[in-house]
Amino acid sequence: MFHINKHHTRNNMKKVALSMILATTMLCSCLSGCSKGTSEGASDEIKIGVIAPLTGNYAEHGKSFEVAMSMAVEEINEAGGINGRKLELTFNDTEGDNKKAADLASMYAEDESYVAMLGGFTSGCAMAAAPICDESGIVLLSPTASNAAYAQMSKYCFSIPNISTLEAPIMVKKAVAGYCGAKSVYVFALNSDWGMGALEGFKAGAEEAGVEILGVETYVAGETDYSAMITKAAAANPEMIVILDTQVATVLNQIRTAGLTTKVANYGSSASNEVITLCGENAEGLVASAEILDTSKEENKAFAENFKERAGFDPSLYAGYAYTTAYIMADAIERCGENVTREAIRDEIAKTDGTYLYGGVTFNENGNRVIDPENASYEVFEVQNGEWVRVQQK
Amino acid sequence: MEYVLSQLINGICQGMIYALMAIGYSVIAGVTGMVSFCYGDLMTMGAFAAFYMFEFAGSNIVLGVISSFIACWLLGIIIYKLCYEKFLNAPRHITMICTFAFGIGMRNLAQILFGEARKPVLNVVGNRAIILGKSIRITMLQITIIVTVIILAILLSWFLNKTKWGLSLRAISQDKTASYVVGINAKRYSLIGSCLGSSLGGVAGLLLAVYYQTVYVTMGNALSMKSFSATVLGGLTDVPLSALGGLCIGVIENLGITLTDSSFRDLFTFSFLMLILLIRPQGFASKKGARP
Repeated sequence: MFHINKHHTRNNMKKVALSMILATTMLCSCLSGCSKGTSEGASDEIKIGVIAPLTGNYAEHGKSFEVAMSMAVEEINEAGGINGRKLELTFNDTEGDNKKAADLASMYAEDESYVAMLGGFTSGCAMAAAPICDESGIVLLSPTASNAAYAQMSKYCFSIPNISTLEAPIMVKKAVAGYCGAKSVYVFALNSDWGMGALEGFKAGAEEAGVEILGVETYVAGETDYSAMITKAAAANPEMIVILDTQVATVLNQIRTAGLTTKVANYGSSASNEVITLCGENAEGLVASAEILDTSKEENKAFAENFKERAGFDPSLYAGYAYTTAYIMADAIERCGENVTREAIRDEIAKTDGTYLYGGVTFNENGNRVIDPENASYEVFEVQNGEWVRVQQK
Repeated sequence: MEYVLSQLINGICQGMIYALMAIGYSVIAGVTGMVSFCYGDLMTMGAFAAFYMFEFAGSNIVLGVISSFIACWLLGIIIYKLCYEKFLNAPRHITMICTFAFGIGMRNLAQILFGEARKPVLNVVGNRAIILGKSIRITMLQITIIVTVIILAILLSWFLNKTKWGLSLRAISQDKTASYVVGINAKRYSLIGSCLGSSLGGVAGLLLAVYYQTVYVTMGNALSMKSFSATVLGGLTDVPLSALGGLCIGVIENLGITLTDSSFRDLFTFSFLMLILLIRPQGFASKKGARP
């Protein structure tokens, strides 16, 4: 009996020691984390909290966020700030971890000096932060959270990236009906939230553009054999086959090996080079549409060059989005005038209607960006001689 | 009608690959008397061996078959030594866990060595299709696959039925102790059986890579379940019936998709498996005692 008790006491002591060490570490890390933000907290600066994966798996994108947003804020401050006040960004690292993102969001939400938040690279991080934003009434404007469910979670959540439901109709109009001039299509769609959203958007767009959908075939992620689908599509004899998936290489290869020469268009892979590597000659003539940074515009070119100089690599689409969010935020705050409150900023962001890096930006009632096909840097690409070429619309 | 025939051909082609996977699996299960959970990863390794052979010596399918056969034969030796040899008389779950662990190890090592990205396996067979009648479509690729599997099946059948090695393998598969009594070196032939089965799996992996024109580290995972199902349909240790099981699964999947949608592919496979097992728990095999 005694023996067991002794053992217990020792164990307890170990636990106490361990918890003390843990507590100290946590306190230290908390202090160091907090000091980062409050070191130069002059009261007339407008403070915005950023959550970004500065380290970890997505560190490259976190770095893009940091560089692009800092560039935007420096430009704004150099031009005199917002109604005479300077903008200040505080960056904190989520490491791409949803729990950390939620903790950081709480930290900003509880600190009254922060008027809004930017960031949340993955949809997971943004969605973890969303309930906190909703409760505390602080805006989270995410440059990259593309999950359609995210912005719907709260009226304080806004998102820049194209969601498939809204983007697919533009693809139909510009690439399928516009560039290819197709009147009938057969659709292969990935059976996922994203893919079904794209399919819904595609159907709506096709109806508007007068493109007939001869058949739709869906498949689950990880499908390897498309021969049965391809035989079905061949029997329907469409002018074009449209693939709504981010991975297009396997399907495309199988379409071509089946001896079909039907024109193929893809929505989802954003004209990535992977398909050319994986399909070789089979990729020839593949049509895709994607949002790109139109560097023929002077200010866009300046952004790309400055970014490269500071970051050491070319800006990705996400870097451009991050830059855009900082400007959207600054414009919204400016419209608030003297009354810079969290609530006022939310209302002003919802009213956003301006032209930014990628063209016009407005938000729908869910808080997703609406793309205006007439005023968007949205281009049609085709694989010609082993590379993606921007093609003129017929 | 022609449309259904086209789909039938798709099904037969896919079924042929499943059949080859199942043949290899049933050889392993037969001689070792135990199931394997690293078979999918073995197929991946076979595909990678062929991929590097194609890179090195050009896209020749015969060279590819030889290289994946040899690579997986060697892996088969390692698997036998690590997972089976010491545990032939131990409880079955030990080997099961061993093969499972070996599979994961192999997959992770492959991720490090070969990388996560998909790699192209292009132009092994050209993009030609033969059109029979009005619209029945058979591609050259499908013909190549079907012919390769048939040749391998004939060779295997000759090996198992006409050679001394094959006879010994079949004897072990039927009864290990009795074959030991009549002077067969059970351990040696178990090793050969394990290697032979692994090699056939490797070639199946190569054919998958050629058929789908890509190779990637996780390609074997989903399909290992299919090969296991096909083997179970065939009664686990019966080589020709396992092949029939694979063929059935391929055809049923494709006809199912013809009627409905590709999203339901696996539903058809496993419903069919369950249905057959409910009616005939021994699978297609005629004797209940056929299983080890």
